[in-house]
Amino acid sequence: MSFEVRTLLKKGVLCCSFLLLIVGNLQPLSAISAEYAEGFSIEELSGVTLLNVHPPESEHYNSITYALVGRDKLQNITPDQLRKRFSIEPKGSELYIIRTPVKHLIPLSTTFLPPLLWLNLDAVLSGIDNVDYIYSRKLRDIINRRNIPQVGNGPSLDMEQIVQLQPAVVMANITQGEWNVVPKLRDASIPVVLNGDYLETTPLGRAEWIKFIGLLCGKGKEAENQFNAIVERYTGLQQMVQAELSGNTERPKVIMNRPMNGRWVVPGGSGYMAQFIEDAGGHYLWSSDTHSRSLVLDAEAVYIKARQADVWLHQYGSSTLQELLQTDPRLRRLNAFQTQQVINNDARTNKAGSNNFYESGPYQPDLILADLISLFHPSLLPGHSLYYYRFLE
Amino acid sequence: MTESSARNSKIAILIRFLLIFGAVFFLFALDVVKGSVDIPLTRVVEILFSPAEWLSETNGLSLEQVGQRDIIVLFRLPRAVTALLAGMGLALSGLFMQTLFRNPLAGPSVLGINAGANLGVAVVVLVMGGAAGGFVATLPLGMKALVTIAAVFGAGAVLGVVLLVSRFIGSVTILLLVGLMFGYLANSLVTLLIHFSAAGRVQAYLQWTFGSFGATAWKDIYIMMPVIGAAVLLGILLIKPLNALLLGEEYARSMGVALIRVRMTVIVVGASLAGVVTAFCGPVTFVGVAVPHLARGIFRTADHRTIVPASLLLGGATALTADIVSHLPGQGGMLPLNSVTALLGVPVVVWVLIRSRAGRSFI
Repeated sequence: MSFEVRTLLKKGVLCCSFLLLIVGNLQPLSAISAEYAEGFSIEELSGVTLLNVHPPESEHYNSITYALVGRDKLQNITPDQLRKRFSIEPKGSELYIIRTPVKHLIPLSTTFLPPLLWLNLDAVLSGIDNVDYIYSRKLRDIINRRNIPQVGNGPSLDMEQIVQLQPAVVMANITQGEWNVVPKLRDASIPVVLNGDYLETTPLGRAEWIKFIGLLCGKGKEAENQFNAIVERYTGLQQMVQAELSGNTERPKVIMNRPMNGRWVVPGGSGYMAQFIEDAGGHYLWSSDTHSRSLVLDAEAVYIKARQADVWLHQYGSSTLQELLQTDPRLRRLNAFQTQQVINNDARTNKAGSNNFYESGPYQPDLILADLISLFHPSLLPGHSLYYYRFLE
Repeated sequence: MTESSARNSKIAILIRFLLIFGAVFFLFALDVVKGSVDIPLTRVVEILFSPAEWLSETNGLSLEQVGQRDIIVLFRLPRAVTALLAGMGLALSGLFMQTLFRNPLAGPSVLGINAGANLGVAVVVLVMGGAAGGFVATLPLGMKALVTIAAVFGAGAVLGVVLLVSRFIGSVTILLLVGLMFGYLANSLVTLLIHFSAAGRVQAYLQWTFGSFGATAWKDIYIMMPVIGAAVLLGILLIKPLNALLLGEEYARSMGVALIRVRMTVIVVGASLAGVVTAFCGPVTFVGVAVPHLARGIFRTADHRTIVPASLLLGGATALTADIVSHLPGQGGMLPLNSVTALLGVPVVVWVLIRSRAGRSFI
């Protein structure tokens, strides 16, 4: 009740403002919204926050709405009652009520962990997928110290252990739903929240999911502040590159990945990595492609284009130039190999093979961008020392 | 059979051989000429007939010319040679197994021999494995030799066990089932190995199981060629005893065939062929089981003097065709080799099943 009164009061105040009268919305001034991400949107109702997750069409999921309701509010309300009460339009067929702030969370992907750490939310961890996948020493220490149980993921998910741990929420990747995780856990009254961060096609869109995690755990404001700082740093770098490139600086031609079994898988021209390369002032040789997913191409078709490239990113598996040559002597003929511009994203990899690029990288796009800028245009960031990337020697 | 009709049938066989040989030559040429990147025919011929150009790095050539040269010499030729070798090896391996087991459905992918080779590969790559995230195609040369040996041993182990079981069980059906079971066993061990390996390898393994003739560079062919060559030579020595085996073990023994030694040689040859092909091309299915039937169907005989060379040639032709088809999509896209070989191979196997049901099997 008090919430509605407060909203009415706020509305009264807002009415005074001509500008906001035009906007005429119900949202309080401090409303958090998603600006870059395409996979989720945020709606603030009075006292209830709706997180709408929109999986891409290719994933065959309906939109899902998570209604974040404070633990002491609207006790015993059912999803249907909630729909009626707030006249929520059926954005998707599914609506789930999540009591916030979430105090016990099991994230089933390593990428969800760094945001929790940065938002000082490590206390909510009541289980993780597998400690071997984790690079961050700080996270490993926390997990070891608190003896946080491992529940596995995918087909080897330990369902019984999850049920025993009774987490408030299990956070999974959208495609992990396919392993029957979602319906089974829901049968056991454990809500599963699907996170689609890795499906985002832009670096800032991916990083914005920190708001999603923050809102769930009652740190929406902090998450927004952190994300705004990321945006500021990212766009600052981006603008600097744009300013420089208008002065006719050449964009280095960039290729990615390596041939394997006669095929060469390259990232699509409208995807996440392509956006990074574009923003860092590089010319990705498949930039005219319109796919966001990867392309599986015949090795010769990529080779003929790749020969002229100036920079070669991401050679999975080889840690030296010599090793790379041993696997495929043809690669010596690439221009980037001759000029030693062979650069991998494995500078931060531990012995178990966990690569920090995939763990904290999605939520630190500004660091990846800075690395790429210093690789493409060293003069723009003098003194920058590479964080995720390193030259193969 | 009169003397003239015998001569006529010899001529008929010769004509068929010439036609098939021509087809292999044509398919090899087509595989080199056609690819994802368009290169004019005249330019392809020019590259093929100027070996001096192969070795020079760039002198006197435009950037485009060097690219075309590299594509032909470094990508398409090794791929076509690999397809030819792999097709020959798998077909011969399948033929020998069919004769050895007196079973029209025997073949590396049916009897679990490929799965045994898989297991050998997986043990080396995943357990002893280098830090490489890739599979065989991205291993250093020394490792590749090791992988090849492991694949041959894996294939030989399954083949040996299946053969041992066949000593005690006469039923063809049960033997096939036993082979299938060992195949499952080997595959489940591979799955276990992958389960306990780094996550990124699952994707690499899946890619490898699609099969590909394009994974080899020339230095890999230097391993493949001698192994397959030696196995084929050994195989030619086996023609006579295998012909005797066709008429039954009792008959073969009465003809003075040292059965145990012949069996061991067949296992070594069959496993080497299946193993080396699997190590470099992934588990390529169906070529082994389908091609010998194609050969018997075309030449209307089970005589190994005819069927061994016929299977070799037809195996090469089938593999080259599959490779060409897998590159058809254009714009750099391609189909997984194993789906193509199965699409080509399944009709043949079904045809054989129907024929043998009608009691007209060649074996």
